[in-house]
Amino acid sequence: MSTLNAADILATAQRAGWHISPERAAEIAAAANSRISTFDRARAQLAFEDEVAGFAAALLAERQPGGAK
Amino acid sequence: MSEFLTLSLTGAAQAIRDRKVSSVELTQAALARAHALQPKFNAFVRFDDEKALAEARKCDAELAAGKPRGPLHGVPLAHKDMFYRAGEVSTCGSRLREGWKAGATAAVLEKLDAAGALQIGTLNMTEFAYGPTGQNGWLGDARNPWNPDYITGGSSAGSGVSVASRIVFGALGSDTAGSVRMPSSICGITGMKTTFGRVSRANCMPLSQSLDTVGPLTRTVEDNALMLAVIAGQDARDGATLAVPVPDYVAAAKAGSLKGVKIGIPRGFFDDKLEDDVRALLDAAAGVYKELGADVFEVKMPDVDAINAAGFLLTWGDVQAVHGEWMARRTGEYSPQTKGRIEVTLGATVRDYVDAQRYRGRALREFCAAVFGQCDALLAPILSFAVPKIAEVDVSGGPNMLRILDEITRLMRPVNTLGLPGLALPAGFTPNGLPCGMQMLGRPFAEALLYRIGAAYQSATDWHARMPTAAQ
Repeated sequence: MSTLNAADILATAQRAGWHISPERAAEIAAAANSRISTFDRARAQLAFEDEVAGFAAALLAERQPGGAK
Repeated sequence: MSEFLTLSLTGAAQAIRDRKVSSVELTQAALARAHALQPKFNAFVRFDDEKALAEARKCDAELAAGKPRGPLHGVPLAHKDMFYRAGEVSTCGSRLREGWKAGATAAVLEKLDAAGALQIGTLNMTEFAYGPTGQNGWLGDARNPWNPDYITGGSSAGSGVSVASRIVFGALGSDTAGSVRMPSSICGITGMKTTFGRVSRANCMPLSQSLDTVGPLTRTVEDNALMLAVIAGQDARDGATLAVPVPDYVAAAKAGSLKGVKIGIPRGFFDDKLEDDVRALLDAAAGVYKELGADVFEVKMPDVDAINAAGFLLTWGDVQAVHGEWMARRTGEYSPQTKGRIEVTLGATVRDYVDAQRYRGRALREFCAAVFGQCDALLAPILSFAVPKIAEVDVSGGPNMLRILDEITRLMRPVNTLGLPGLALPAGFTPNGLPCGMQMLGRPFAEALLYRIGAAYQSATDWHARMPTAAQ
C-alpha cells in the first residue's frame, strides 16, 4: 500500500470538517504509516473469501467447548 | 470502616441472605466510605445516596417477606459512568455529555437490578473511555489507593479504585484495549475482559463497537464469576452478542486442582520489552500453576504485531465515525489529550478499516491453531513495566511519556482484536510498592476455564486479599 502524507490527512480532515494544522497532519501521517505498514503483513494474506462476517463465524467455530475444561 | 465492607461480594451477598447484616446497613457503610475517600481518590462522578438507600430498604423488606430478587440481593455496587440509566445523567467522563440524560437503561444494569444489586453512584473514567492511564482533566484524575502519585490505569479508573479500596464489592467496566484489565492490574484486583459477543453493550457508551466489551471488576475470581453469571448472554438489542450457552461460572470458580490443564507461556511479542521485576513475578506465578498441577510450557507466538496494528485501524475507523460530528462542531469541549487521540484516527482509510475487519476471522483462526492448539490458556503480562507515576504520563511528562503511552496498551489490544477473553489477576508487587497483574487468555467463550484457573491460583496466593495501603 502507498504511504500517507500530510496532504492526505489534511484532505480527510477537510472532508470531515475537522481543523488541524499541517504540522499535526504530518505527525498523524507518520503515526498512521507505522501502523499501516505493520498491518500490511496481514493484509498480504487476505484472500477474496475473507469476509467481514468471518469474525463472528470464527468466534463460534473456535469457541471453548462447554464447561471449565 | 465497617468490617462487612472487607467481605467479598460473594460473602456480602451471603451475609445479607443470612441476616447477619441488612442491605441498608451495608449500603450506608459503602456510602459513608465512598464519601470519606472521595477527596483522596476521586473515584466517583456522582453519589446516589437517597435512591440507593430507598432500594436497600426495599431489598430488606423483600428478604423479610422471603422474596429475594436474585444472587446479588441488596449488595451495593457502582459502575463506570457510561452505563446508561433511563432519565439519569451519564457524563461518559466528558464535558460534552455534561447534564445529558439517557433515554434507556443499559442491558447490563437491567440484569444487575433484576439480580438484586444496588448502585450507589457512578464512577470516574477516562473521557469517552479513550485513554489507558485513567486520567481525566475535566473530572480530575482518580487516584491509586496503593499510592496516589501513581496512575490508576484506565479507562475504568473509578471501577478499579472503588473496588480495591473496599468501597463497593464489584463494579462494571468496559474493555476496548485493556480498560478492564489495566485498572484491575494496577489497583490489585480481579477483572474479566469478556469474549466479544458474551455480554450485551446495549445502551452503553460506544467507543469502538468492533472491539468494545463489558466486564466485571471484583476482588476475587469467585466474585467475578458471580457478576458475569448475571450479565452474560445473548441480547437482541446488541447484534454482536452470540447464541452461546452461559455455563455455570460460579461452579467453575471453585478452587481445585489444575491437573490436566495446559498453560502456555508466550515466547515472542508478550515477553518483548518485559522488565525484569515483572518477568520475575510472572515466573513465580507460573511456578504456582505448576504446583497446582498444571502443565506449564512455552508457546511461540504468531505475528501479534500485525494483530495489534489491525486493532488500531479498527479503533480509528469506529472512533472517527462516533466522534466525527463533535470534532467538527464542538472540538473545544474535548480535553486536549482526547482531542489529540481522536485526531490520529484520520490516519485510517476506508480500505484499511475494512481490511482490518476482514482480517479478524483469519487472525482468530490462525491464532487459535497456533496457540490454543497447544495449550488451554496463555499466561501473559498486562504491563511490561512497573506502574508509572502520573507525572511520567502527563502532558508534561517528558521524553518518556510517548514511549510509555504507546507501550501501555500494546499487550492489551491484540486480545480485543481477536475477541478473546482475558482474566486479570493480581500477581504480586514490583519494588515501587504497586501491584502487578497478569492476564490469563483463552479461546472464545473460555471464561469458565479461566475462572477455574484463576480460583485455583487465588487459593494458593493472597495477592488479591491485600488491602491498599493508602486506603487503610
